[in-house]
Amino acid sequence: MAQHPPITSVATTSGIGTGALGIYLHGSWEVNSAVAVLSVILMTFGLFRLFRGKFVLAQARKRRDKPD
Amino acid sequence: MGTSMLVDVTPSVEHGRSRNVKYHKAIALVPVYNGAETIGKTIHSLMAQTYPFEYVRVIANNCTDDTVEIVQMLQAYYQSIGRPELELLVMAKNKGKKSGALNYGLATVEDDIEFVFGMDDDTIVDERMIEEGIIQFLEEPQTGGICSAYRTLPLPEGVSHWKKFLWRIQNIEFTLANAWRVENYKSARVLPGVSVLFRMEALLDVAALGVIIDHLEQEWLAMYPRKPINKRWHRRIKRRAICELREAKRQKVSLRDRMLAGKIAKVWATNNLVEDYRLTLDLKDIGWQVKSSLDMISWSDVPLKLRGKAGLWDQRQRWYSGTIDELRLRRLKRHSRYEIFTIFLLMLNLVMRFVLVSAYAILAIKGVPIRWVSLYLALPVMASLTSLYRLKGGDQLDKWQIFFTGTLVVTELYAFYRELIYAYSICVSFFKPNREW
Repeated sequence: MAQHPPITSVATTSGIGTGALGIYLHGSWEVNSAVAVLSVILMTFGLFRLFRGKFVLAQARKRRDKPD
Repeated sequence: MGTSMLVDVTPSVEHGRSRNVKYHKAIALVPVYNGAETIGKTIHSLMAQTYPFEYVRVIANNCTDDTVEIVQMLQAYYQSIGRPELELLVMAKNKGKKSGALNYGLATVEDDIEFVFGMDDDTIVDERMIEEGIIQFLEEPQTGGICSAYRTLPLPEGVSHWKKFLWRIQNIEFTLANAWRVENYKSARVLPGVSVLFRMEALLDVAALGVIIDHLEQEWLAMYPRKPINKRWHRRIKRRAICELREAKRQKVSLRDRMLAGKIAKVWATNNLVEDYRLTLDLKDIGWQVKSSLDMISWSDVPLKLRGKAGLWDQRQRWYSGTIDELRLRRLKRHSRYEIFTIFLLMLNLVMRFVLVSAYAILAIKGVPIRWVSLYLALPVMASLTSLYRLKGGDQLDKWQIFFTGTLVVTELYAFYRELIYAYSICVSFFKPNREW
């Protein structure tokens, strides 16, 4: 039962890590902010996927529970 | 349904379909290896299904404990109350382990069976599980396999704080994994062997694929007796076999006959550490859809120690290295490239954790003032809220699990631990081939 995390959960660490590297290499906080924006977008996308999944499954359940 | 009810599950004589679902013949195959402690509850949960099985076939696989006696006792009990569907097959010298037992069980299945349920011997299933699965199968004719939502079996009384901690973090992991299944509702990434319902036709396709591959390999060996089949040629043979199988399906050739030509079903691979993963990818390759259902629920045992045989490290290393083995065999193909991409991301994440710590340590040593950009602060807050939301609807959650998830520290440390196992498993896959479970 090998489970891999979704892309969105990897976003946080990778985002912060890349940002930190950006500051270290370029001395620029703008790099960090840009990566942080990307991470927030990815996490929001993950939440959207979750909401969509819940909605679709709820609709399917409603359809199945409908009496013939 | 409360978990406590499932744990104390009692055999039910009064059973019947709770919804108006047309009856289709379904069976259960339960391979068991020295499962004397757990098999009783597993069998009771199967016999208590609202959608009754034609039979529940327990396959005792090289058992040296009291498993066979316990199953025989339960068989006698169920027969005495008019429930003859519990059957026992004993394999004394099975070399194929769990896969061998499942293949043996499948080869004995009658022609008119439409659905096959496979599960582990340390798992308990919800009483509506099969009913929910069959309703979904009837709605989706292209679906070949449906796995359940997985939850952890409750802890026994009086265990140490360390075991409670390990159980809690794995319960969080299982709950988050169920949320990922909702996200990926269109297709399951793997049908875990813990508890999964298959369409018999889909399993027959996989069995037929195995027979065609065997046939093509024999042809190859006849043509080039001194040239062994390497991984590259195996991939080519498999591709050709899939084409032949699809053609046979188009021409409606009886696949059951082709499977029987191989004498024994080779559906679950005996040369792989994660036979369920290979079967999932094979089903996808042939053209079947694989799904997960949150309406099908099962409770499974989790390791309560880190090291040693059957510890957390041991279990995960087997899963992960088996996954890498399989993906290396398949290379960048339609159903494996996204999997490979996610493993790349996982390793990137591991590297980034080190970059994160070392970059900020250097910044601190150099005396660079840290500017707390508000957006940057929003990241962990959002990650925490997202994780808490994903935890919603989980089973057996307590304040500690909510605290661990909300503060991120423990869950991130656990994620780091799993990433380390993954990194180690990649090395093991490359440098230690031919490993055994």
